[in-house]
This record gives sequence, C-alpha cells and structure tokens, in this order.
Amino acid sequence: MRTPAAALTWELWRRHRARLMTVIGIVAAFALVYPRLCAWAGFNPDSPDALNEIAKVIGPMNEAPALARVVRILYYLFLAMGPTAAMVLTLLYVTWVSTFTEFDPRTKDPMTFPARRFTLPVSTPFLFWWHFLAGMTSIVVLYASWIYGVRIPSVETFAVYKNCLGWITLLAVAQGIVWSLAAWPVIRMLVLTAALFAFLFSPAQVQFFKSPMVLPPLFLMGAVFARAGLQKMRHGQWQGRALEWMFPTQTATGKLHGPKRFASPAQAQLWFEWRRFARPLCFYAAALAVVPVVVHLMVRFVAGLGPLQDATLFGGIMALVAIPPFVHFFFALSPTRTDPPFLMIRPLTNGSMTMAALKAAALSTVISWLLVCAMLGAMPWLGDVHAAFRKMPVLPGVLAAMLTGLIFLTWRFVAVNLCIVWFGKRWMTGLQVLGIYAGGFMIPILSQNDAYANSLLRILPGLLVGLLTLKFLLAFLSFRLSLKRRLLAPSALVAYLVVWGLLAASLLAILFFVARPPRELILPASLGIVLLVPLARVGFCPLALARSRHT
Amino acid sequence: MNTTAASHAVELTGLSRKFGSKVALNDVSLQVRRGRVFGLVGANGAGKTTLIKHVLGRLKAESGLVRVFGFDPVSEPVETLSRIGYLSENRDLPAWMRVDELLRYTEAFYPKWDTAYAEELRRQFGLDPRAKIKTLSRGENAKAGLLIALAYRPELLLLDEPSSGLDPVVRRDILEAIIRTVADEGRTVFFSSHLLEEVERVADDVAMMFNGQIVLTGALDDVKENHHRLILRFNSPQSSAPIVPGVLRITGSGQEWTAICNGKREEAVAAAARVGGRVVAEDSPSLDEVFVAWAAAKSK
Repeated sequence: MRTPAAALTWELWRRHRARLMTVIGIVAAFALVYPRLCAWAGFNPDSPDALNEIAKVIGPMNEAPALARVVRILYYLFLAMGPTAAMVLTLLYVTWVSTFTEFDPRTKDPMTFPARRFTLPVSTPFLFWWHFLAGMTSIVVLYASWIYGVRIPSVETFAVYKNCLGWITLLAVAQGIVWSLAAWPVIRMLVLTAALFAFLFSPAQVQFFKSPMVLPPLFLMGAVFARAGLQKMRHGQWQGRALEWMFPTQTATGKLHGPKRFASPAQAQLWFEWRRFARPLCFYAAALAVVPVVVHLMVRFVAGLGPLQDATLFGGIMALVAIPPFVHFFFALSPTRTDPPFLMIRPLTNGSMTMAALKAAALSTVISWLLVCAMLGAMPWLGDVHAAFRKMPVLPGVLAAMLTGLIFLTWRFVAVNLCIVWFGKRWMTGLQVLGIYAGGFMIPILSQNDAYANSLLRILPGLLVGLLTLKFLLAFLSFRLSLKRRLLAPSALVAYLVVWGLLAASLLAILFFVARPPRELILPASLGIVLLVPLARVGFCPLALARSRHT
Repeated sequence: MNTTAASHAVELTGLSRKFGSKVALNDVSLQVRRGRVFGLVGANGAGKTTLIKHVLGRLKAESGLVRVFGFDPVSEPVETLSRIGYLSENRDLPAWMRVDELLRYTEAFYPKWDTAYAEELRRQFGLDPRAKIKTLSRGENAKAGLLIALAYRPELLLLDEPSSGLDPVVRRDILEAIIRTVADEGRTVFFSSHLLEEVERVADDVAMMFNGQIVLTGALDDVKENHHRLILRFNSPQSSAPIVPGVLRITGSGQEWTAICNGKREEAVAAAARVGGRVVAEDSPSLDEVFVAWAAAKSK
C-alpha cells in the first residue's frame, strides 16, 4: 500500500469484507440459482408481467390442501418479487456501507464517521473525493451486476428502479444527509428515513426517476452537502451547536430535576431498560412508520398526486404492520447489544433484571403497535383500502388473528433472545437465522410436492408434543436451578407463570373464536401457540445473567 | 455469614484465575481490615483489575475463596454489592443518561442513599445535572462515577485506578474523598493505583502484585521500614552492576551504586562487602523505589 488511496481502499475492503462478500453471494445466487428455480417451478421470469404469470399458476390450485396452497403462493411471490426485493435491500446495504460510518459503542450512534480518518495526513478534498468516488463506484458495480447479471422479472411498479442515475443520486443524497447532519443524530435519522422512502417507496418515485430535471440537481445538491458536511465534521464546526435554543444548558448550581424518585429498585431498573432500548425501539418504529405515511400524505394532498393504486396501498399496509416485528427482531439479534459492567454491579437479583427487561419489551411492543395502528388509520386518505383487500383470499378473522400473532411475535423476539444475549454466545443467534433460512429452503420443496406437505401435516402434532415436553422439562429445570441459587424470587416466578398462562390462553382464545382455522389445523396450531409462548428460555435468563455477571 | 461477624472487609484465600493459558491470579491470599485504606499496586497486567473484579463478583473464582464482609460476591451479589461503592477504571457509566437521571436511578438501589450528601458532592464536583454523561470530560466522568459510589456511604469503597489519566485537580478531589470516607465514619477503602505517591499519601496498608501474585503486603509504615536504600562505594569503577545477594535492585555507574534491599540489611551489607563495596550512606526508600526494585527483582 504505497498511497493513501490504496490504504483507504484496503481499509474499506477489510472492514466490510464479510458484508460485501454476502452481497456478492446474494447477486451470484440470483444470477446462477434463480433461473433454475424458475425453470423447476414452471415460472417464466422473462414474461412481460410477472404478476400475471403468478395468477396463471396459482389459479388452478383450489383442490390443494391449505398448507400446500399457502406455501405455493409464498413461493411464487418469492419468484416474482425476490430479485427486486433483494436488489433494493443490497442497494440500501451498499448505500449504508458507502456512507463509511460505523457504530460508536460509546455514544451508541450507529452512523458515526470514524474520527481517526480525520487525523490522517491527507487533505479534506482528497478525503471527500475518495469517499465519494469509492461509494459511487461500489453502487455502479452493484447496479451493473444486478441489471446485466440477473434475470429480474418484469413488474411495472418496480421498473423505475432500473436507473443508474437514480442509484448514484440516492447515494449522494444519503452521504449529504449523513455527513452534514452528523452533529444531530436524531434529525439525521428522520431526514434520512424520509429521503429513503421518498426515493424507494413513494408514489413520487416515478417522477423522481423519470424526470431529467430532478435527479441531476439532487445529485449535485447531495454532493455539495456531503463535501461541506465532511469539512465541518473534520474541524468539529457544527458539533455542540445542536438546538441550543431548545435545550438551554444549565449551570452546575442548577437544581436537580431528573425523573421522580423511584419507588423500588425494580421500578428504577424498568426505567433503565425503557430508556436504554425500549424508547429507542419506539423511536425507530415511529421513524419507519410515521415518516413515510406523512411523506405519502404530503405527496397526496400538497403535490396532488395519487390516490395510491390498490396493490401499492396493500404493500404499504403490509410494510407498516411489518415494522414493529422487524425493528424488534433486529434489535434482539443485534451483535452490538451488550450489558455494561455498570449494570452488572447493581445490587439487584437476576430475576428482577429479567423481569424489567421483559416488561420494557412489552412496553415498546405496545407503543410501537399503537403508532402503527394510528398510521393504519390514515390509510383511507391515501387510497381505497377495501379495494386493496378485495383480492386478498383470507377471511377478516384470520387477518385479525395474524395481526395479534404479529404483536405477540414482536415481544417474543426480544423475550426469547434475552438469554442468548446474556449467555454471550453469538453463534446461537446465528443458529436462529440459519433456522429461518432452512425454513425458507423448505418452501420450494413443500410447494412442489403435495405429498410432502400432507406428510408434514400428519407428523406435525407428534413433533410439537415432543418439543412441548422438552420445553416444560427445560423450564422446570431452569426455574428450579434459579430458585435454588437464589437468582429468582418465588413471587417473581409465580407472577411470570400467571402471565404465561394468561398469554397462552388469550392466544388460544383468538385462535378458536376469531381465526377459526380448518379442523386439520386446530391441533397443530394450538400446540404451536403453546410452544411459542416463551417459558424455558425465560427460565434460563437468570442463569444466563448470572454467567454474564460472574464470568 | 453475618456482616457484623466478619472481621475483614475483604478476605481472599488461595484465589487463582486463568484466562486461557495466561495465569492472571496465582494463589492470592489477602486480607483487608475494616476501617483501613488499602492500596493495591502493580505493573500493567499484574492482575489488579482481575482481583478487584473477583471482589465485585464480576469474575467467579476458579479456585480459592472470596469473601466481602463475610459474603460470597457470586452467590450473594445483592448482599455484597449493596455494601460496595465502586468506581471503574473504564468509566463505564451509561453514555445516554443525564447526570440527574444517573443519580435518581442509582438512588433506587441503595436504601442508605443520602440525597443531601449527593447534592453536596454534585455541587462540589461542579456537575451540571442536565448534562449527558457522553458530553462529560474524562475528569467529570470520573467525578460522576465517584459521586454515585460515595452518596450511599458504602461500607467499602472500591476504586480501580481511580486517578488514571486525570488531571491534578480531579486527582485531589478523589484523594480527598478517600480521606473523608475514612475520617467520617471509619469505612474501608480498597483501591488500585499506578500513582505510588498517592498510595503513599493515603494508604494504611499496601500490597504489591507481580504476574498475578502478591509479592509484598503489610502496613505501609512497616513496608517502608523494612526496606533500605544503601549507597555503596567500590574501590574501583564497576563496568556492570555488581551482583550482591539479598539486594532487590542495584543501579549506578563507576564506583558508586545504589542498592535497595528488603529487611535483611545486615546480610546485604555483608554481601556487598564480599564483592568490594562499602556502605557510605543509608536511608528509607520511597514506595516508588520499593515498587521499582521489586519489579526489577521479579522480572529477572
């Protein structure tokens, strides 16, 4: 490495090697494996309209059993939308990598530009141009790989994504926002979310991507802001100027305000968990849910565009309901999530710490869903919701049950991963992700063979009973050990068992009285619900925490 | 065991700990008496922080026994931690909290929290209650940590390198806090430090660690009394350091050399005489000199 540019390029590659290899792997998989999957399923990816292609295949399946039908629909949806979805995800991913920011463990800011790069003996113009051009090159290579290397099914709504200028403009705007608003992380997050949604999902995207009068000026503006932001960041010129007029600094002699006095250590711990992760999760859910809806409303009523097409509105509603589980899932699996030594030396039992974390997760779940429900309430202004759902072949009761299930899963993602986080065994998290992938791989197999699906349905109750037995046995052992080691108060155990019972009973009641599944699915669904309500893994939390506290 | 029944604030017996193949603590035994200021000194990597983490219960003893006021910090964390005020070397306070939130939060865990005292300390340390921890300087961060460690008047104040990387003003604040802790109510202070002049100023007892072992422990006055600095003169210039049995460290050049010896003064003088040296002056070494001498002796 004889030049600074070569050294910086090596650093970029070294830091993001695994991530970039993953992106390359995804593109390669779609380039090489996807055509074979299409051929196997009888799906033509070069059809002028991929959605019509799906309708042709799904139409004559009425005689197939319920499970096989659902699996087959999912599989064809994957074939039609998968390449575009993966392309957009990799675009977002490489855009993030190309902002060249990192997670700062001290401030917990996920998009901090590393200060060490500012101490390198290179000029600011060099720093800017290297980062700017390296990002642009990555994006152009990604674009070329997708567009020329993968057979992407044609879906009219997504045709606008096939525009290289749009991609590099998105990066320039992202760099401009991230670098120029570095001193104000919350505002940066909101502006960035709004910009991404405006680019990727807003109905205005058609205008953005098609008009030659929009993209070039936006590209230039992003570059100018990025250049100015990098300069200001390097010399700390905007640091500490954040909204002083809103939050005046108090002197050291100012009175103590703070939160009110806590009634108990458990309450203080709940506040800690709320502030540490539940409130940020609510914020992320709000940013993801509220900002795009507001952008859409502005586009609809200020710019006078719309209303949204039925399919777009349906997709938007689906995206909204996916936000809380999505946010909680990624938080639960986040490798940056650790408990500081400060917390580990609180004189509080492990059981109390566990309960505080579970309650905080419940709080963030409820608040995130309230926000999402409020945004769902705004949907009728954006389009015809009834028309959007008319083609949905699912009963309203099933939809309501699915919604309840998603709310429950939102909390569950955090609850079941607590013990993994506290055990500190990250490979366990990886196992879960592998499990999800394994499930994904089963879908094409099941969708192609009704006999497999029927066999699975027959053995499912037995399998679930076995897993339930194991669950109760592990729960019994873990709780007994926690009680024996005085990690858990008996009253806390009783309280959780009551909550567990109520939760399981409520979900079963919703299954029986609201969803009303077909007879063959009642037993496996009931057993599945009881299996999903966390017991053993919550039981292991105090033990895992003890391991974390006393290495 | 009852806290009143325990004669020592901290008691370690045969404590050992390995991290992979590296031995961090090797059969460490130590007693910290109640109402005393105990200074733990040692080079980087000697095992001081590992030892303190065992006292806190953050590490579980692989072998040996750890007792804090008679309690096992691992199996009885609540009983132990409610008696300890701890200031970490890493200044690991939650960056997102404000100072006032930190105080309110910490207060909830300690029934003996003294609000008036906490407020007095906060004003004394000049901490803005609305300031976020992440905006505090290194010194302010240390003060905030010290504040929450002191405000409930813990029976044991446990400080891990409290003044590492701090300016003289903050170091003075910390030393005053230690002195006041003991002077006020006769509570116990156990701290590790690189700054030996500080240890010398405030400690009643000291222990020195090298490579996971306690090589020297006792009352500070005894330690200083038991070590001697001998100025040796040789008849002819010495090209290399003369080898004097019983001497921990010998430095100098030419005809005049300085030797630090431990306890056995007469033997050291006799040994020096055998290699042609005679004692021309003698005094007590500083703790710093004792430490360096032991470090040299152990690294041979």
